[in-house]
This record gives sequence, C-alpha cells and structure tokens, in this order.
Amino acid sequence: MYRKLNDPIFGLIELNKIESIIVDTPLFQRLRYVKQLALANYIYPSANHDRFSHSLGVFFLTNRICETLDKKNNHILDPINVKNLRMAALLHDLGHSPFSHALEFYKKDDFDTQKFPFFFKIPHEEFSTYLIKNSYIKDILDEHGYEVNLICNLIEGNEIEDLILSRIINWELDSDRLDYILRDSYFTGVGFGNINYHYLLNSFKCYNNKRIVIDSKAIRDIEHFIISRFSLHDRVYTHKTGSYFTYMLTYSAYYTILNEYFPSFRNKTELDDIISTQENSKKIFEFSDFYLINKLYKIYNDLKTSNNEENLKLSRIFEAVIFRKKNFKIIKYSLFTSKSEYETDILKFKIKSLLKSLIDMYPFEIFVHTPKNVFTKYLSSKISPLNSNNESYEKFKEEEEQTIWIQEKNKTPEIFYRSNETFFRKIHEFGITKVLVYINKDNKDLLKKFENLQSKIKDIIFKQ
Amino acid sequence: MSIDNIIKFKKICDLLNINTNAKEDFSKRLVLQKLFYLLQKLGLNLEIKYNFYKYGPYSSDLTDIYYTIMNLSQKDFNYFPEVSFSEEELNIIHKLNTIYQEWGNNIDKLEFYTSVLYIYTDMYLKNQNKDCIKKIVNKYKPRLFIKYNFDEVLEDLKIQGFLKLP
Repeated sequence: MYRKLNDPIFGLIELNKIESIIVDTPLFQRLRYVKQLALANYIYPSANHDRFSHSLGVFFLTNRICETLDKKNNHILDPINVKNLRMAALLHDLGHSPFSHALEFYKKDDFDTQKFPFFFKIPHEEFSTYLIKNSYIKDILDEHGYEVNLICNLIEGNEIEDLILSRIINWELDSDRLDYILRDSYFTGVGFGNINYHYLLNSFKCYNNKRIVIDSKAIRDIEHFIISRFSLHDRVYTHKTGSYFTYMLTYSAYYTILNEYFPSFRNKTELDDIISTQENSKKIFEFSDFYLINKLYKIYNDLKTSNNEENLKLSRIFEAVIFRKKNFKIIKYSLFTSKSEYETDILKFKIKSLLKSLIDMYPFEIFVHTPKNVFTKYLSSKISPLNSNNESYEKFKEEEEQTIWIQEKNKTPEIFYRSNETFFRKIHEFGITKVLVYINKDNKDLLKKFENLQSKIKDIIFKQ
Repeated sequence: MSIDNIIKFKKICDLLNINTNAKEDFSKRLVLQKLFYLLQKLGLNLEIKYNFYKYGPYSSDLTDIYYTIMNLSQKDFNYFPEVSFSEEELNIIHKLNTIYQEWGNNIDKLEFYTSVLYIYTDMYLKNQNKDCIKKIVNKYKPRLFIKYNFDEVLEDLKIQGFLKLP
C-alpha cells in the first residue's frame, strides 16, 4: 500500500499509488468543500463532514465487500474488475454540486431550470462520469490500465456483464448506503446507526454467481441497518427545521444560478477548458459550498439595501440560510403511509393548487415542501411480506432481484422481508410522508388567510 | 418533472388502449414495462431509467408511476395540466402501437426481445462482438434462448429500427 489515511469510522484506509494520485487532484480535493448533509449542521452542530471522507468510506467498504466475497466464494471476482470497482467507489460522488442534494435540481419540479447550466439538470452520478471522461482523470486512468467505461457504468448504476460487481455499489445494502448511515450517525450524534458492520459484511456471500445473499445469522444486523436508515431519514434528512433551512438554501441558490451570479462557468466549452489540466482545474473550487455562501452573502447585502419591497422579502430567504434565521413559521403535517415519491409529488401539487392564490399574492412568503422519504420508496408496496401464498409472491416478483436475500447454511435463499424470523414481516409498509409549509412569520394577514385554509389542506392530506 | 411523466404515461396508455390497472396481473405489468422500454428506444424519452432484472429490462420508477395512477380518481386528473405530443412523438407512439398489436400478447417474446436489446445497447460489455453477446444472452435468458433463434431476433430488432447492425 502506498498511503494510509485515518478515518474515525473505519480506522486506516489504505490507497494504492494511483488511487492516491487521483485523491490529490484538484477535482477530487474539491469534495472537501462539499458538505455531505448541506445545512444539517444548523440542527446538529458537528455534522460538518464532507463528500471527501464519504468517498473514502465507500471505497473502504467496497474493498471490504470484495475481499469477503472473494474469500468465501473461491476467488469469484476478477482482480481487474475489483481494481476498477475500487476506483468507481472512490470517484462515485465526484460530480456532486455544492451542498450535495440541496442543489440537485434535476428532480426538483418546483424550479424552472431551463436556463441552468447542464450539470445542474442531470443526476450527480452522470456529472461524475462527465468529469471523469472529459478531464485529465481519464488520461491518468487510461495510462494505468483502468477501464474508464466500466468505471463510469458502475457509477451510473448501469448494468454490466458481472452483476455481482454491479450490486456491490448499487443495491439496497450497498457500500454507499452503509457508509452514509454509519458516518451521518456518527457526526450528527443521533446515536442511530451504530451498526456492527464487521459482522454484517462478513455475512455476505455470492449465490449462483448472480446475487449477493447474507447469512441468516445476521438478520438482526440487517434490521438494525434498515431501522437506522429510517431513523436518520426522520430525524436528520427530513427534520422539520433542517428541511426548512435546506429549502431556503435551494431557493436562494436557484435565484443565484438563474441570475448567473453562480457558477462562473456555465457551458460545456468553459467547463471542458477548466477540467483539461490539473492547473486549470483549481478553478473548480468555485463550485463549492464556501464560494456559493460568499455569493449568497453579497446578493443578500444588495437585496437588503435596494429599497424595493419585493427584494426585501427575498432577502429574508437569504438571511435564513446565511445567519440561520428562522424567520418563517413552519407548519408540519405528518402522514403515516407508504406513499411513493410520485404520490407525494401529487399531494404537493394538490396543496399548491389550493394555495395558488396566496402563493401568487405573496411571492417569497409562502412555500410548500415535501422532503423525500426514501424509506417508503424501497420498502413500500414492492415486496409482499405477508399472506405467504403464491399469488402474493407473484405480484412483486420483478423487484426481487434488488432486495435483500438471506440464506441459512446451504438452504435455498429467501427474501429477507418474508423470513419468519424478522419483525419486518409485520411492519413492512411503515413509512412517514411529511408535508411542510413555510410562511413569513411577520405577515399576519397571510397567516390568517392560511389558517382559514387549514381544514381543506388536512382534507387533501388525510382523507385520500 | 414527475407530474408530467405521470400524465404522459397515462395519455400514452390511453392512446394505446392499455389498462393501467395491473397490480394483480404480472403479465400486464410485464407488457407495460417492456412497451415503455421500447418507446424510449424508439426515441420518446420519458427519462425512465431501466435496469436488468430477472425478467429483462425493468424500471422501478415506472412501477411507482402505474401504482400511483391506480390510486388516482378522475377528479385527481382534473387537477393536472394538459400535455400534448409533437407530431414526431405521435408517430413514435403510432409505431409502438403497431409493435404492441404484433407482440403484445406474447410475453415471452417481449421479454426476450427487450433483453437482447438491453444487452446489446445498454449493458456494458468488455467485448461487443456478436458471439460474446450471444453467450451473455444465453447466460441470463437460458430458457428463452432455446425457444428463439438469436439471429432472427437481431434481424427483427433491426427491421423495427431498434438496432443498427451491418
């Protein structure tokens, strides 16, 4: 090993020489300035960890899974493939925008992004592979015998010939999810997610050369993983006040990008020039949290001193982000449900339709936000756990491939959610959908008008 | 643009006269999955990501869309804005309709043809030559590989405009 890095979660993370060279490039170093959880540190003060350490963590876990599978299944993995997979794990978040998912506009249908630079309109995985394929990183990888196309397909979650390899970083219990649960739990201090990953990973094995299965002895560890993920979603990722700050950040960044204050490079030609050499790519540091905050601060000062009533209202949004100002009232509706992402979008659409006159009348003063609840997406109606008759098994058989399988000794593997030994058989469809409305605290007239519509909003949410 | 996707999906199903209420019927779901895979291959992009599952190309996102639609009433649809298709898009939908009439009742055929297409065009392969692809198709679809003639399938996919082969 060429280099060892110390990590509070995993201890020493060992890199070979080429991996070390990649880590030292400005393109990779930028990830030090992209916070993993955007403004979660406004709620949990120590949640300041970044995409840099997360990438190293995913790299570590990916390698550990490969070692376990290889040991248990008699060198099942091709060493060349493992070398490429390690690199894919390291580079998987290279294209994350500042403040991570808060600025991932491609799925935010509240915002018109037609005039946005292309990299805000694609998933971050796709931007990661764009940066790899069009920068000097490709030259480094080519020179040292890596397969750039294989790495990019692994990052984007496209299928490759070796499905086992693909599953290690694209699966319900993959190295990416496992790292963020352990890391986010540690740095927020919430206490969930203290998973015994040594035991869990040591329970991984291959079945029939096409699926990863987990030894049934690790059932409690799988449960712990799922519960931790749910708890983190509820307490951290969709935390009521945390969601408010994140939404205000998204909104202020939207204004900043739309009006071309940020970033300084906007089209492919400008970007390609920046990423063409290591020296030029130092400019990529402008695509970072600290640079964006600096821009927001300047815009805030301009808005605040403009003597225009609308600008003053807009400045409150920037103020919320920069100074952690809770200057909006937050109204939360929680719905015990198993709604899909689309159903939640429809719910938001209906509420916004109901509130349209208020939204039009009071720009920058009332917002509807439905933070994503990933837990339900993975666990809702997809895999039927109960009523173990053939018919219900048949209903969901397409999804089986992506879910967690367990195996008792040498018996035929079974789907984890259908096991007689897990309580998930009973609470399988559990999930919470949150609808949040943010209203200017100081506008009593607006608050009163909203109050009059509350019962209709509750009807839409609870009487579906 | 997820609401748009839901409305477009529903409208295309209506144009093709497909019943979206497929929760209880695996065959119906398979037809829906494969038809929308082919639709995107013909050039009408709904930004639906497909992966390779047990029965060939499959999209978890599309499942969410048709399960969502099943829970919507006509009143719900009245909320949504109208979407329209360009002439080019309508031509693609028309072409899909022809394929649907020919292949729609044969789920084995849909599964095998879309699997071959996926392996050929979407799966990352180290070696793109025809014999290697044939081996991979045989590996992942052994039952259907015996049932269909691989060369004829390639020719059919070429005739329908899905593949550009020499």
